[in-house]
Amino acid sequence: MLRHILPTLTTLALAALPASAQSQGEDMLLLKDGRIFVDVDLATTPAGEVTVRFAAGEVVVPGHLIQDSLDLDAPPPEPKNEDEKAKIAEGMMLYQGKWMSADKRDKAFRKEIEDKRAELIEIQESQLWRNRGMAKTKHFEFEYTVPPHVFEVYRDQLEAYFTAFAKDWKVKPPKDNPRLKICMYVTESDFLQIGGVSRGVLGYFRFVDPMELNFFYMRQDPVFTTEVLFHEANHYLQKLIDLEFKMPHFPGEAIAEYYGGAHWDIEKKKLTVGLVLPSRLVEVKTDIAEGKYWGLRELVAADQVYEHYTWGWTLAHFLMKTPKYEKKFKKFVLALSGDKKVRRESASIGSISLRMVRGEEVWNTFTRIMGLKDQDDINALEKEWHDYIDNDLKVEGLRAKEAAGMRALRGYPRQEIRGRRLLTEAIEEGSQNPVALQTLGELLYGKNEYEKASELFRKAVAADPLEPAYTFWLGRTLKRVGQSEEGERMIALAKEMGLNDPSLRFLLELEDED
Amino acid sequence: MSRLVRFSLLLLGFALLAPAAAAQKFEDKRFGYELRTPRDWNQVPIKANEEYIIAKFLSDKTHFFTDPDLKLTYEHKPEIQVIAFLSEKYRKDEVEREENENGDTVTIRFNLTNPYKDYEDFLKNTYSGGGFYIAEQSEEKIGGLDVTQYLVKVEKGSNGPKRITTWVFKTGDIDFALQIECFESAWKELRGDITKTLKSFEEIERTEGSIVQDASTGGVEFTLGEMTPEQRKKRRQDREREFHKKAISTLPEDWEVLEEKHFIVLNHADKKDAKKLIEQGDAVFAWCKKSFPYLVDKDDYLSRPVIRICKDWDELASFAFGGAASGWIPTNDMATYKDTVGIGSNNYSSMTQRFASFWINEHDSDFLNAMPTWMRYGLEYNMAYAKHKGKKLELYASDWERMGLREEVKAGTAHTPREMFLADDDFYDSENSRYEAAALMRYLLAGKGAKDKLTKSVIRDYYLNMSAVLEEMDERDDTGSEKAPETEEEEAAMVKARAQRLKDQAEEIREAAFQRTFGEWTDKDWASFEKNYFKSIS
Repeated sequence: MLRHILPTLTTLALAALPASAQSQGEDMLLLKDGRIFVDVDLATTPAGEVTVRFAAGEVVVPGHLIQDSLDLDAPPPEPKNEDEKAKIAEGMMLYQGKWMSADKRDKAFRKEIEDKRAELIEIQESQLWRNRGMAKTKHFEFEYTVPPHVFEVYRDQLEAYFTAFAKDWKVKPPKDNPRLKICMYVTESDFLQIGGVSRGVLGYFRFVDPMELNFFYMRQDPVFTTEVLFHEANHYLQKLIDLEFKMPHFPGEAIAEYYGGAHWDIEKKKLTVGLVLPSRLVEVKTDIAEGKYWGLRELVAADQVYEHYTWGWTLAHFLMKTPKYEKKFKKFVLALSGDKKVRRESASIGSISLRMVRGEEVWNTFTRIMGLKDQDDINALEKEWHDYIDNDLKVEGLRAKEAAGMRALRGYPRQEIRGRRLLTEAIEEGSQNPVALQTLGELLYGKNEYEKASELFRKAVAADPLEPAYTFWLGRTLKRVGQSEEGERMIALAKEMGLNDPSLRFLLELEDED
Repeated sequence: MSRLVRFSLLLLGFALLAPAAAAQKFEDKRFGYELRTPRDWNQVPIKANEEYIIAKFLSDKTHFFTDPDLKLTYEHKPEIQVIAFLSEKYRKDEVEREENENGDTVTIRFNLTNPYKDYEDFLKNTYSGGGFYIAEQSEEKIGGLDVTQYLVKVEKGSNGPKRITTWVFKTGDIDFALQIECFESAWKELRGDITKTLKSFEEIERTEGSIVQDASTGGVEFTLGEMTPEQRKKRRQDREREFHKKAISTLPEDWEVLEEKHFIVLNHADKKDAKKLIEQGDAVFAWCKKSFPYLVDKDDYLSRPVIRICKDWDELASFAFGGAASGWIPTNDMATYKDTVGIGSNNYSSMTQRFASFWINEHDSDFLNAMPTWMRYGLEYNMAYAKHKGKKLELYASDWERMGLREEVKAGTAHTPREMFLADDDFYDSENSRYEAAALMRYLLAGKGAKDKLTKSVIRDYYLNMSAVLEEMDERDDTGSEKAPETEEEEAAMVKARAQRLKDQAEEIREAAFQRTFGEWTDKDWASFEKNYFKSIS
């Protein structure tokens, strides 16, 4: 792990550095969310904040966002007492907690700077797939382009996830292939390009040899990144139930979603599964608002419908969380590949033969194992499930309100009043999610409520000061509230920050239209 | 190591290197470059709407790759593309405005500016052959030009791992990317030829045509307001002339151009294939004119589409894929390939469907858009199996259709025409329902129904009635004046009501079109129609 070395720098030491190293734009900044900025000009405050200097102005980055930085002209630490003042007056320097001569300190410092620069450059270059990082754990073999400190979080939670599921469902990796390959990309764009999939795909598991899982790091929503990883990894774990069986879309996707709703506590290294997935729940609630409740048979007997991800998840959640059904539901899942009474068909992909079960047979197996003998039993279970959705699965908590609010404003049909209410509540309850702030800000901007919008964009910029879109929107809004000069400056700043950001092109076109 | 052993290894080394085939020179005097392609690599035409790719060449030899895990074998023919990235001075928007005599028609025409920054951006946004990444990149100086060399590997999601070798030559005002793609497994064999071709690139003097006029052809046209029939005809003729000129001028030398009554044929197959296809096209046009006379307006100008017959599937794929609009070809450029199966093949079926859809669209694009589901599937399925005999087009039921209908009739589940007219879209999800629609359309267009006094005008009447219903619904559409909700409850109710309204509207259209067409029919009429229809499918 990189260490934060800024407080040890002194101006004296800098005087000993080659002239080129002191020039502007040679500093580097690595953020906790994985973004890396090279050849920038930084100024470090004694409080640990870093200011990035652009031509259009300075951007202050709070210390809690910073993973590491390299500021060649950071100020020396202030002497804390008379003793330290006296030592400095004698020409001694404090370095790595030790007092030493200026010459010795310069030498050590120069080496540290070189090492750190090399390390940060390596992190930046490893974002190209040709320079990707590789690592092995007990059950996985990783290839990744995210910075190591980001990778480590996902590596650890995936191992914990595997252990929890394997214990629950009694599965083991194949002896001849004990590690699944996991490819993690630093951006969605890289995932689509290198993974060879079309826009809209969030991750995929290749279920024939060589098995492989691909997903990307969504830096603005690391929780959702985990949900996608766990969802796809669950397909692998389902595969381990029987390697020659292709799990049907239902219950396959529904279980993957159920286990996708898990939380990994980084500090306690503890995994909790079966949580409510706000993004899925709001889709279900939207269907209900439009008057559509999916029926039990309609869902379970369907060969492949999108609702297996949404309504299927609610059904899996209901059955797994209801003690009287949990065992039966698990038995039903295992029966699809292992029960002799189930009618299976052959499917092949190239020379690889797989067995599969069609929707109607899934339904027959479901009713048999769940003990649904007649239509009354089916209706009763369906009612219980629908009641569970209505009464037990609720859009609650910050994250749920953010997800529901953003869905209401960005989805179809657009529900402005609901979206505004949910996002306002989330923000009043403490949400600092910049995407939520921006979404609500854009709504208010569209309604000419510029003062309120500017406050939201200001908060978004404070939460993520190096995201050009937030700075752009703040600038655009400031121009509407009589602060034209400052607004123009913010837009110029956004342009500087987002030189290589293709999404900024669209925003700048918006500004040209004004 | 002894001298003898070293000499033997040297010989072996030479033997392992495949001899490079004799090269053929290609010159482009408009863009100002030349290169030497390996022998037996043929030039492929460029789509008229292509903006970046200025030349393509395809190897004659097919390479094979067998996936070691899936044991699937893939084929690929190596391909060269030359892509031009023009400097800013060539990328200016053009705006034209025209007004008719009433002063209410405005046409704005502009060229799309090159949205790609450079070769990497282009590749990222246009390559569709699988997941790829840049495995190597370096800067060189070759023949006085700065050259960026790329090795791109195509691995995940591809039909076999491929390698793209690209050199980007930076001249004063154009960056030329010379891109060559082959199977990774074929690289050893092709390495000599590919390297020679890359090294052969040279700038030459620009002596033909103008880059400014022709470099960007992806113009977009908006027409606002009504045109007079004369203006519409002139506009069609102008655009047709421009399109034909462009298609012919970018044609490789070994293609022939056949000027036919209804088509411009650009042929790289043999004459016999072209003749067969032209006859089919002529027969489809004649059939459409006879079957849908009410769509023809005396002032209509039926433009001549291009039929482009590639010599094989690989050549068609090379023509159609790559570049900014990969896989998309304008409807007036009917690209196909020499079909060794002939009438009845998928390729032939698809061309027949395209002929019919082109003819209808030229005369009344609303007809295609407003068609009810039974009519749309009915026409599509009938065209798929239509064959010409001389100048006449004949409609046939496919074997699948016959089997499907036989099953339905035997089981007593075949639907009556009335049920089909009133069925919603979900009904036509089933293949047998589509076969029933095909049988019904055939009965009404070419069967006994086309002669029966009772049913001979059903298609025309149904279409006209349906169009009228849609127009009336548009006129009374009050969703724009819908009161904006003020509370969350009102908003939720509005969402629910809108979803319901969409369902209701679809049903209302079906019911109203049905009532207007058959409102005066008696039970006896229906009985007669059903009897004759069922007889035709039994």
